[in-house]
Amino acid sequence: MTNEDFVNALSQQLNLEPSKTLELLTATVNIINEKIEEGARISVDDFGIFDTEKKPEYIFVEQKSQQQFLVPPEITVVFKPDSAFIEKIKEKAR
Amino acid sequence: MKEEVNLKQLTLLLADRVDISHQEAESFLKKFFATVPEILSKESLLEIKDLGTFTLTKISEEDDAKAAKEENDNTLYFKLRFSPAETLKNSANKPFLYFEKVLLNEGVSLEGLTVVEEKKEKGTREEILIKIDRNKAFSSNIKAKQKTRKRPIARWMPVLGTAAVVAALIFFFMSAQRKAQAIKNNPEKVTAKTTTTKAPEPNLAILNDSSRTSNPLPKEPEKIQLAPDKTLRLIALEKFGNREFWVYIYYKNKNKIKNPNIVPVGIELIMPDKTEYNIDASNPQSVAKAKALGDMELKKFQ
Repeated sequence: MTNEDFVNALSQQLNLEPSKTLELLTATVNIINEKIEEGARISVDDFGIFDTEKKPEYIFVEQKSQQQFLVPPEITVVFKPDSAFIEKIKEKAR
Repeated sequence: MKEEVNLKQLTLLLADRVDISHQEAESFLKKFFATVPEILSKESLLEIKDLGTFTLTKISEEDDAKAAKEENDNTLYFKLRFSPAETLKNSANKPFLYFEKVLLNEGVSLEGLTVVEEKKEKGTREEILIKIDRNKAFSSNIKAKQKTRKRPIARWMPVLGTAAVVAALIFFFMSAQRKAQAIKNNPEKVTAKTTTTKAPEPNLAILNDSSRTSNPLPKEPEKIQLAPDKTLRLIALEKFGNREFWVYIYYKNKNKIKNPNIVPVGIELIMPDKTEYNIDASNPQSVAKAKALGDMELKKFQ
């Protein structure tokens, strides 16, 4: 499902104009981005957690040339779903 | 300690941002967070602009290890993956955004760092494994069909496992032998290179692990203007106690500095936070690491 379809689905459920839903969605995503940039963890009950993890630097060996590269550290975003989120997903297979 | 933002705080921030009531903001956020798993229970992909993409894929029946596992515990597996959008990725990785992969000279060894082969790196992705009871999900005849198909794989598992252990032992033995041979052939060259370009950092991985929990992210970085009689090295000496830390000032301002040897006077420089790069003038490893990075950067402009 694309972002546009998601906005339409949310609009129908909330009984809002798609343009208003898009405005609210954009603002929500921007807030999440800003908080993640500050190093915060976003934790929502029944949904999950958006968190950051620092991956330490490491040496990467290229298979063909066997050249070694020093890969810098990286802070990545991870999503840890709540058990309620997983339960909803399980409906897919039933 | 990380700041934790919950639904209540998000509600306040959203209400403030778009000028709506708290009830409206809460109702939107609740619906938003409830709709994501609902959609994933029907569709295998959901893309949210500037946030990321959620994908849900069934593990293929031909996937050897997982399929063998399935046979044993009679469950079905799905992989849930969240791939952050470029905007979110860059927001999180802001302190290291301008760091680049650097080619290491032959003979340089950085002890304590993990070595990752190309093949292995491709397989490392953030995924959540979801187990689903197969009895509830599928009819018994499909299950029987899958079982007969997987039996030969299960039979080969011990053989494949033994082969993997033998290969790992050979790899370990060969690399140790190669290292010993290199030192024997040219001890001066090896030691000189390790001390001048890259000092060994035995505790680097551990240091990074500990910093993961403390999450050192600066909130308001200090800014200074480059005076006519100042250089990056002099600023590093004043601010961090050692000239070698100039490279981190350069990294922090890489978008403004084209050549670290020629820094325009009057330029506004953002000072890196000490915790971002483990800057510690009293720690010889921290200084050596900065020196090695500085040398590498300067080589690019020779």
